[in-house]
Amino acid sequence: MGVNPATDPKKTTHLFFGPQHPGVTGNMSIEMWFDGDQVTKAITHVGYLHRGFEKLMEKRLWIQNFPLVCRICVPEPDINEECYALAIEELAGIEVPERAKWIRTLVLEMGRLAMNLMAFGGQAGTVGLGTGAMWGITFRDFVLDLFEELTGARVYHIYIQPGGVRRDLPRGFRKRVHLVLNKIEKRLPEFDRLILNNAVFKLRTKGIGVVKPEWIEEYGLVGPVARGSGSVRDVRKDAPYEIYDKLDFDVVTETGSDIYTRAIVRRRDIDLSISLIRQILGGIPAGPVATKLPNLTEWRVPAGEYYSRVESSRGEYGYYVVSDGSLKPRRVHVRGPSYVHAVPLLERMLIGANIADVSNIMVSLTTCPPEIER
Amino acid sequence: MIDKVKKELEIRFPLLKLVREQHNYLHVKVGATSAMDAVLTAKTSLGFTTLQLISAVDWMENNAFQVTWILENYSEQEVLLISAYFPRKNCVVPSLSQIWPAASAFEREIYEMFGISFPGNPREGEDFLLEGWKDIPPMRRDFETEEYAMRTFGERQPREHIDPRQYIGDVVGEWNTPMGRNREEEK
Repeated sequence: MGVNPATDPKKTTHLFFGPQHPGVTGNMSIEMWFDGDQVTKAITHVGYLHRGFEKLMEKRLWIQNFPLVCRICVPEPDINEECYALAIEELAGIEVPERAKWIRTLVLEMGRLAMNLMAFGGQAGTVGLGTGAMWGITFRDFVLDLFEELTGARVYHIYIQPGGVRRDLPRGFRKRVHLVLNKIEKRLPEFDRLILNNAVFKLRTKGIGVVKPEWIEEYGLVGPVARGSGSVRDVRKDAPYEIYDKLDFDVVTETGSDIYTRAIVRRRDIDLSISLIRQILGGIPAGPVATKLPNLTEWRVPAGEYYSRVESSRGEYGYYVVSDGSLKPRRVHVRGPSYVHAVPLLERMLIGANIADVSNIMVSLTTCPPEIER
Repeated sequence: MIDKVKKELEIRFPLLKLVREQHNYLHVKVGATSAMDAVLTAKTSLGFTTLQLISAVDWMENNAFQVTWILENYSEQEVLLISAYFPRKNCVVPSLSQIWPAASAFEREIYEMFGISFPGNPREGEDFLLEGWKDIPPMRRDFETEEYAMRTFGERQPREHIDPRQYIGDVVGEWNTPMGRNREEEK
């Protein structure tokens, strides 16, 4: 009687993947058991950069949390500010001027464009196409230059505040945004030729890392992961915030369910963001950019609870904010898309995967570990 | 459409309290014993098939934990929040991990952060975010971060400050600018 090698603990290899590994997105690790080349079990380990954001937020004034929330997702920080500001505005009953709504949407779309450029190029990087990754970073950098001009910071903008934005658009900003968009758009066909038409990229991504459509509701999947499997979920369309109801766009969706499809979804999201930014730039009305707020050091946001949500480049992003009417938030719970993507979904998806595809699958989910360990 | 959901829930749970109602957004509070019923009713008969989040709030002064389930109906684009208060001491809340696999991770986090137990979760107690944590769960209001930091890491030593003039004076003798040296040489 022989022993079944698939279930024999003596025949499986036990391996830690990350946190110090170039294939891992951010500071997390996966503990895996292999039978030959195949993963038989995977556990996600997080906590390497736990900074206690949510606990810290309970100890600070409402306004003091803005420099903190943007650090929850480094590559795309504006969604955090937007989500937190939306919740405060809802609880305190603050009206946002029309111009500020347009500028906020502009900032959110620019952040999405920057993140998608990096994620799309990064997907190529995992199969050894370093050029794609470098191009992605380079073009993201042009968008960061615009952020620097607009907000004074490249990464953590701290630009959105309750009741509006921190400052108005600089003179000639629209023209420079158009220039950057044209520059990116001109290079996108080459991006496609380099990445999507590449034989190696196709071999390494088609039919691999399949997200079954029934998992979407089961796990609560969002963003390109869900939209790559036939879902049409997009908060911008489903529950429009800011001025998304005034913009003309269709939700990007594909049905291939594999890594290649998710790369296509991200690529089409880049096109969508460029189109949306052009629409916004053509329609920003005149007017004030912020509402006057009460004395911020003594600002008591009225008691209440609200769950605000926006669409990030990786899917629905939610903030559950509870106020007890005091100077500080009672509780802020951040629900990032990476939470379900990197923990329950990744653990499920990796079973049966090949060892060489692990980092490829992981990058295709574009996880951001600080969203798990706030 | 959210009206229909509200009416349906009000019929089944007469003690329900409305917290917030908006376009496609409903937040209700139910009793601790009917919380699971309400969540399962929302899933099976009202179309809220997706669990977005499980969250907890510590109301220490009322001696209660508020647990909130945030559910979503994809086809109608509706969000439903169901909250319930549970007694703070030895808090036990039924687990949903058999119904939604994603609930397992949320429950593990709440167990670590608040000490709320979810019997039925097969992975409860497994280290998640805080490996090797020995103290009381840190998201509780009675957990004092400053006191914990002092007890664990001790008082932070003030940074040693070196005055550059003093330092260079110690190393190379008298502090002289090149201009000053030249003047001395000229003399």
